[in-house]
Amino acid sequence: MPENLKALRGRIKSINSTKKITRAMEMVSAAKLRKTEGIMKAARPFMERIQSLLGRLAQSTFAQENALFQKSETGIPLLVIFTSDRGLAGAFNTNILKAAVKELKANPAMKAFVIGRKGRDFLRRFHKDRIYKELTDLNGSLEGNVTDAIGDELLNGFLDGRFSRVELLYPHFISTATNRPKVERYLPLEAEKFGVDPNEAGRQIDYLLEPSPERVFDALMPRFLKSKIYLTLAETYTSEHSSRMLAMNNATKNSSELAGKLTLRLNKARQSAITTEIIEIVSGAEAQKG
Amino acid sequence: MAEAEYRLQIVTQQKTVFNQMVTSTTLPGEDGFFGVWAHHAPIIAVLKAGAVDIRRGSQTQRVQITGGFFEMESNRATLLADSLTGIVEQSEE
Repeated sequence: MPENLKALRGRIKSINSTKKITRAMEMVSAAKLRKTEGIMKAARPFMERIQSLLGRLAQSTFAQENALFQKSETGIPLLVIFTSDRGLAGAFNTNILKAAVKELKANPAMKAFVIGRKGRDFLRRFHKDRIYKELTDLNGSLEGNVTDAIGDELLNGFLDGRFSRVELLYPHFISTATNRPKVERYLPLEAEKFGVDPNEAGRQIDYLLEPSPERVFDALMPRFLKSKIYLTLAETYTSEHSSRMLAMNNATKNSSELAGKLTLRLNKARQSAITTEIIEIVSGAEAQKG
Repeated sequence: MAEAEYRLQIVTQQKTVFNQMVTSTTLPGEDGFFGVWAHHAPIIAVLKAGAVDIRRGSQTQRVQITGGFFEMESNRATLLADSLTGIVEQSEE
């Protein structure tokens, strides 16, 4: 039975149009990736400066006695999960959510503050009781009101004892080809992270602090925490676009391959149909001669 | 002899907007404006919203910030601005 030529042509056509879509998505993601990667890299110097300023302050006694450095006994541990609103980004959200489930299983009291529609939908379906708060449709925004709102919520929640600690779970951007889920302590602050040497705690700092050491510290801390959210969101967006770009690149390659295979099948089928027809004609003519 | 200069960097969350030698800077501290000249003692200061005047020789530029931090150590100064308006001319360097 010869293959159905019409059906084959139809399939090739549909694969080629899928290919056009995936290629377009790949290019859109590539453009967005460039943009968010630039934002992320530009934000790092600011963050590093703030962190180094804090490092110098964290050494002193008043800083170590600050509530933000203290472990809180009350409240629940909170996991902030950064996912994307849209899919078609390969294993991007799956990887994050796998890590999230692992984290939630390991800490039965832990609740989740989920950012992104994909994460929300997943948690609603499988771990509805663990949701603390949902935040979706950020649309790639890094506006101050968005990042500050998240930062304030986490900071205030920690200070008034709603959270005993806060962890961030986000796709750590390693390169365009790789990003990996990473869990990072957000609050309480860990003095070691700022390069504080425990043996030198309480050492006098040789800086003028205007208007007062406490005030400088109280102003720097929230700034640092908000910048951290800004950077984490920028990293999430960057990883999302790079994952989608790769996924779409693979999809485009697969369509090319599939279209090639089907074209070969189509040509073979067409050729065998022609051959059959010729044989029929030739044998018919032979029979007439006879 | 030329006046002593120091390097001033202005960094916001979005980018480094300024990086060159200056003679003096006037900043809106929480307790009032203060000026910083070359070889100032190490300082970390909290800034409120207001105007920052950056002077080099006889030229002065003014930018507005909504708040931020100023740090100076070993003749290198960094202004971390929450947000910044005003034209910052990035002449030479």
